[in-house]
Amino acid sequence: MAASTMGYLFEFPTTGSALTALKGKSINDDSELPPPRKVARHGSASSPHKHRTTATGRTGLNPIEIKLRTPAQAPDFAAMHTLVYKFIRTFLQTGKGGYSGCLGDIHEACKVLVLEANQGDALEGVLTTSLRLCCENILREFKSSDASVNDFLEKFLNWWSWWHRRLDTLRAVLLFLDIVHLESHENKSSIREAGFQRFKDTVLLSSYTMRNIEEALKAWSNDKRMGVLTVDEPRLKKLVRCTEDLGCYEPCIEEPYLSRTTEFYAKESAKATSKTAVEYLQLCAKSYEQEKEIEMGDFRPETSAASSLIALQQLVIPHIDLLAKEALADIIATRDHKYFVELHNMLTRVTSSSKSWTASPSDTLLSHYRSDIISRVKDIVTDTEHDATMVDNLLELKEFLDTCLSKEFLDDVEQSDRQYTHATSEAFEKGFACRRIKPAEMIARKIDSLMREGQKSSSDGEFFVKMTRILTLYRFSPDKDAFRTFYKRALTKRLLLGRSASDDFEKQVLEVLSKSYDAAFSDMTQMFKDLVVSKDLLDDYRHPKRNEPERPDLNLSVMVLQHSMWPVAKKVSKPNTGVEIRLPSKMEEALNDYADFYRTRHGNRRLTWAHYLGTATLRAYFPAGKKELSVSLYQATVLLLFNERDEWSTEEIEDRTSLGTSDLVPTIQSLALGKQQLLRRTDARIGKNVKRDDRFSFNEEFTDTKVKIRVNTIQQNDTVEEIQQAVKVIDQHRDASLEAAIVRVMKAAKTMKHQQLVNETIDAVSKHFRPDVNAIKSRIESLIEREFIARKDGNTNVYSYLA
Amino acid sequence: YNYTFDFAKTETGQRSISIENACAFWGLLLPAGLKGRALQHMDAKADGEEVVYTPSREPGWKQEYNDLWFEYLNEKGGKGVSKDTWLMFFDFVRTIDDKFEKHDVEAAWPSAIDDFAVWVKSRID
Repeated sequence: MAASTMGYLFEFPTTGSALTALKGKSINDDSELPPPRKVARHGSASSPHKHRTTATGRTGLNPIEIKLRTPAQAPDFAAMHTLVYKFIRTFLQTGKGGYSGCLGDIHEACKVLVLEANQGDALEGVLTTSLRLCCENILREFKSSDASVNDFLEKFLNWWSWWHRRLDTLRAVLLFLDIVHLESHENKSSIREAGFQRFKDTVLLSSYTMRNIEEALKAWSNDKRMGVLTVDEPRLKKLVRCTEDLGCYEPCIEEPYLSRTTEFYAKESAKATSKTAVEYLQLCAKSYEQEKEIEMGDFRPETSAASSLIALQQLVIPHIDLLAKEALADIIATRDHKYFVELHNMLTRVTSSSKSWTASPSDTLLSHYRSDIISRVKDIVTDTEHDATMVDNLLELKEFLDTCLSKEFLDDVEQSDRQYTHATSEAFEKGFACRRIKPAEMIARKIDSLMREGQKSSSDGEFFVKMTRILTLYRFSPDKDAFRTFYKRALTKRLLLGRSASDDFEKQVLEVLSKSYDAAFSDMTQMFKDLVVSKDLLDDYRHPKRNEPERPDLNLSVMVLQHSMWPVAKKVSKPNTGVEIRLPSKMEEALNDYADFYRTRHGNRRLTWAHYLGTATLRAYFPAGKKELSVSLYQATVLLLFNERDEWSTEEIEDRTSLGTSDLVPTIQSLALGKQQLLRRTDARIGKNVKRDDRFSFNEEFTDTKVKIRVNTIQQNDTVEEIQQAVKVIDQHRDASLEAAIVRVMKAAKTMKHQQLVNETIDAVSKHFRPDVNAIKSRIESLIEREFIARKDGNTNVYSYLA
Repeated sequence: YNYTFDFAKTETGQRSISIENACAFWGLLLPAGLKGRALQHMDAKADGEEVVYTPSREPGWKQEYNDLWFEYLNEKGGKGVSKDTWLMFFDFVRTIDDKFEKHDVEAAWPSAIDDFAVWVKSRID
């Protein structure tokens, strides 16, 4: 096409002498050279440029003048216009094969009209109208066949490519119009643009088409979900591309697709009623994944993302409680942390999809989580029948939760992590508060058994990890003073009975406890000092100096404990005798000797024997073999009786030993009615109770694979009595602490309102335990009675400090 | 009324009087006070640091309640009646409503009176 414009670059001479030398030729011959043309010949089609040669009709040497027509000659615009117009109309007709005339002519005419006749606008008008009419025709033809989805797609695409081709040709032919007139003007659209626009507006965006597209998308998405293939996918892809080209992807494809998705999943969500909570959760997750993966090549990724989010929203939001409460409960009950993370992430995704929530799914999940854990902890803690496994169960639950929370939270990072950690702590605290003191006691017991077992095969690190986990539980208990008490008692027994696996460990644990939890633990390290001092003393005792008498029993070992530091009570078995136990005379002798010795070292100190903590080693000669028995002092005393006689009755033993029933019975049980029967009940009877007239005798048939046997386990564990006593002591201490706190607060404040006093008192002791409001009230009353504080005149709600 | 507590002490240095004696003296004082103006029902309002009493129109302590109080004390009263309880009881009778619904357990009432309020409520229902 460029060649035609080049014509203007040359100016042809109006006369030329080139042919002057020509002899006269036949007049009617055209000159040899074809007349110069400004455009290439298009064939037989006549060109509007009529070449005129001067027909001389004369022979002779006549210079042949070639006069070229100048463009100045006015062409027939109207004719041209008609031509172009006809062309456009014909060309843009459905059903017709094409234009049968010479396109070159059209092209020329167009150029003329645009450049010379300034008919650009008119042509444009024609074009526009024709485009519109054509499209309407297309639509009509299109519509007339009610076809299946695939037929629709085929037809549509056929029309679309037909349109494409027509436009291309149109543009080529009407090039001048396009370039000169249309494209250079800002608010005019080129042929191609106008064509596309028109097609879009009339055909694509017609309700008929839109409906069909929607049907197609619906069928296709069903295919995808069912895993079948009914829709012609490549064609659908082309359709999508078409909408992209036409810039109406959103209304044509995305919107209908998303609304279909919404509909589909709204219906799907009804399945919630027929499934269990966890099954429904799985359904949600699967649907989300499915939607995400639905690819159509030319689908925009935003569409897939949006549709998967919609799926989630439709499925999750109406059943938020089912998921956040029931599914969560099931998941935690079955300790399934994969699903836990799944559930959490899913709800986070749904939450972040919208900014306006009255109660966002994430928050709902968090609050259900909190209440679920609280009730679980409460159940464990208040289950009195399973006290022994309380700590283990709590540890197991905590570990599970820790695992859940430590796994990467895919969608939300630290925020929710912290929220959940916080919620867990809160829940455990609340749960622990449901039972007084017992949890603290169980934790102390657990640590006790751990310390007794020692490391065994696990490494240092592992052992401490175990310890730390238990101590973390302790943090949640409000009864810190109870824990301290029980821990101390257990420590005492471990140290005195030599049951601790390692002194170093004990000290390390105490350090950890005192640093991280409660400074009072560091006092317990003093206990070790006492033991060291006792050992030194013992060394001295066993190696008497020249002026000191010989020691009656060098096997004696005594531990002297400071009463203030050790929770050792003075035990008096039988109230009227004032004696704990009557030991064999030889033992008494040895003990007295030591007492004398001690007095020479520390004259101003008073010693009291705690025989219930004493131990002895006996050499026993059974017919089956010699045995070495480690027994408690009580047990030893009872056993030694059988050196005198073969048979004793309970009553008789009681008389001789002065042991009270509550101590005697367990002792005898452990010797005669347990697993290792050193004694045997003479009248073999079933039953663990010991009657006063039961008779016991030396068990000749006793055997054991080991030579050294320990029988003193009863000393290690607290009896029910001891625990009750401990709790009583704890309560007494608490009352005293409360009173001290109240007095302290009042002394500083001089006067204070009742409520404020209560609050400040609670704060003051919060590090050790959580007081009952009633307990505080009764302490206040007691203090009023003892005239430490008084009610203020004129206002019974205010107290004042009495100096 | 306040003087009576010390009067009822049988020994010097006593901190509480026996329930028997306390009830006997209350038996004398309460009916008289309720008939007259001493134990008239009052509204107590806290005004800054002070408490202001104004006569109330609502029904309050009834004569029948005296016996309930004695019964409660004999059942659960413990060892004796402390001075604090004795003194506070006066205000209690004056300010409590007839159904014991307005009693504030969080306030500074002695625990004996708190427990009584709970106990008597279930009795009169």
